[in-house]
Amino acid sequence: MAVETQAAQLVGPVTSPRPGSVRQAWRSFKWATWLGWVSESNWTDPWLFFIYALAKPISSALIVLVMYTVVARADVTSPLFAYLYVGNAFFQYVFQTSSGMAWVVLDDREWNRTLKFVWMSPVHIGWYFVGRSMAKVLVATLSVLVLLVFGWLVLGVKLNTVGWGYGLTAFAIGLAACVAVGLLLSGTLLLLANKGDYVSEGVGGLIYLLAGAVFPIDVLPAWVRPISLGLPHTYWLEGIRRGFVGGESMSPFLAQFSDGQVMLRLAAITAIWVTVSLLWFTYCRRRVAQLGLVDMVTMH
Amino acid sequence: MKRNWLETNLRAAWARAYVRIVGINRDLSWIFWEGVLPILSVAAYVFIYKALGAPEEYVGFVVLGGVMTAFWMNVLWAMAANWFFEKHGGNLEIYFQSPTHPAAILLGMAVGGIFATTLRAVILLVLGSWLFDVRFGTANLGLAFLAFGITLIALYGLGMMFASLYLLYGREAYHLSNMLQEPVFLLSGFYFPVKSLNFYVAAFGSLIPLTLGMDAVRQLVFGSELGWLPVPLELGLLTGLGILFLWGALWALKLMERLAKREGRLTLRWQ
Repeated sequence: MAVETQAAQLVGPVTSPRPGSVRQAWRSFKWATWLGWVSESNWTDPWLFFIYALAKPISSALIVLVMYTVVARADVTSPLFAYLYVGNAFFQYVFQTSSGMAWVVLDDREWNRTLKFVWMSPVHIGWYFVGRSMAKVLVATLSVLVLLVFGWLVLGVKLNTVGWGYGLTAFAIGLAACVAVGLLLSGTLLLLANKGDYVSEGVGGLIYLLAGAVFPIDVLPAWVRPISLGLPHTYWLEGIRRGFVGGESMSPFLAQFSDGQVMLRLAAITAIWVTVSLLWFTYCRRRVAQLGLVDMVTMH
Repeated sequence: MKRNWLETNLRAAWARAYVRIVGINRDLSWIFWEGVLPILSVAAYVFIYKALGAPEEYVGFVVLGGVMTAFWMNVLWAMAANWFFEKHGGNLEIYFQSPTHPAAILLGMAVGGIFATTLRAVILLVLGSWLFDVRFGTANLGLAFLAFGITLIALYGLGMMFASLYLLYGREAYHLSNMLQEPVFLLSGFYFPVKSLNFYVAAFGSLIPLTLGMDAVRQLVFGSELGWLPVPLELGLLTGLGILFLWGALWALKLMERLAKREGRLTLRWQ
C-alpha cells in the first residue's frame, strides 16, 4: 500500500479522458491523424512522396481532359468542360476519404497487425479511423488545389471567385458525407473476412457513376435517378460547381433547384447519411467485439 | 539430369500456376467482385462519352480499355508486387531454397495470372458489350486474337521483370504499384485512341505493351481510322518488346541473386 501511494505521488493523478467524452474524441482524432500522416509518408523523402501522391489524381484529370478534347475538338472554354473538370477534381475526396477509411481497417488488421492493440487502448475507435484517413484528405486537398490552379492557368477553366463562400460551405458539408461513407465502409470491413478492397473500390466506383462526378446525371437511365438523388455527393458536387465555377448547371434536372434548395438538400441528406453511418458503425463495433473478430487475419 | 531439371522446373511452374488456376476460383464470389463490379468504372467512362455525344466506337474503346485494365492490375499486383508480398508472408525464402530456378516460379505466376485474369476479362467483355451494345467487327478476329496473345506475352514478361526489380525496393514497391495505375491508363490510351496523344508521349507509352496491343486490337475490330501505327508494325514492335522483357526478366533475376549474396537484405521484411 505504501509503495502504491508513493508511486501515485510520483506519477500524479491519472488523466485519461472519460470514454465518450469530447476530450477522448479529440485525442483519438489528433493522434490518429499524426499516425496516419507518418504511416503514409515516412517511406520516402517529402518531394518523392508528393510526386507519388499527385501522379494519380493528375493523371485521372488528364484522362478526362483527353477524352473531352478527342470528342469536343479541344473546346476547353466550354462550361461542360469546367463541369467535368471541377467535378473530377473534387471527387478525389471521395476516393481518399471514404476508401481511405476502409483501407485503414485492412492496413491495421492485416498488414500492421495493430488493430487489436488500438482496440484495447483508450481511444474512440471511430474517431481513430477518421483521424487515420486525414492524411489522405490532406493529399486530396493538395491535388485538388494543383488541379484547380492547372485548370485555371493552363487550360483556361473559368473559375468563379464570387461564389467561393457557397462553394466552401457545400464542400464542408460534403466532406462530412464522405466521412459518413467511410464509417459505413470501415464498419462493414471490420466484419468482412475478405473482399474488403473490392467493397471499398466498388462503392467508390458506384458513387462516381451515380453522383454525376464527370457527367450530368441526366445522362443516366431514368430509373437510376432516384438513387442519384439519394446520394449527398450529387448535391455536393452540384454545390461545388455552382460555387467555384458558376453559370448555369449542366444538369437540366438539377438546374431546377435554386442554390438554397441545393444546399438544403445537401445538408438534410448528409444528416441522414451521418446518422445511419453512426448507427451502423456502432452496431459493427459491438458485433466485432461479440464475435472476437478484432484480430481476425485473412492473409489479405 | 537435363530431363529431371526440365521436369522439376515445369512441375514448379505448374504448382505456382495451380493456385491461380484452381485455388482462387473455388470461391465463386469472384464472379461478382472481379467480373461484374469493374463494370462500374467502365460505365462511368461510357457515360462521359455519351454526354459528349461521341461516336459509338468510342464506347467500344472504353469496354476494351476496361478489359485491359484487369490485365494491367494483375501485372502490377499479382506479378510485379507479388514477390514483395511473398517476402512479407515468409514464402520467398522457401522459393529460393527449393531446387527450382526462380524463373519457373515467375512462369507459373504468369501462366496462372493470364488464365485467371482472362476469365474475369471475358465476363467484363461480354457484360460490357451487352449493356452498352458494342459491336465488334469479325473480319480480322483471328489476327486480333494473335495481337492479344502477343500483347499478353510481352506484358507478363514486363511483369516478370518487375517482380525481381521490386525486391530491390522496400515499402516503395507498394506505392510504386499504386502510382502506376492511372498514369499508365493515360499514357497507354486505355479509354481513348492513343493517336490523340503527342507522338513522343505515345512512343514513350508504347514501352507498356498494352499501348500497342490495344491499338492493334482496336484497329482490327473497329477499323483503322483511329489507329496510331500500322498493325504489322505494331505486332513487330510487340514481339520485340516481348523478347526484350523476357530477357530482362532473366537478367533481373541474376541481378537480384548477385545483390542478395552481396548485401544480404533482399529477404529482410518491413523495410
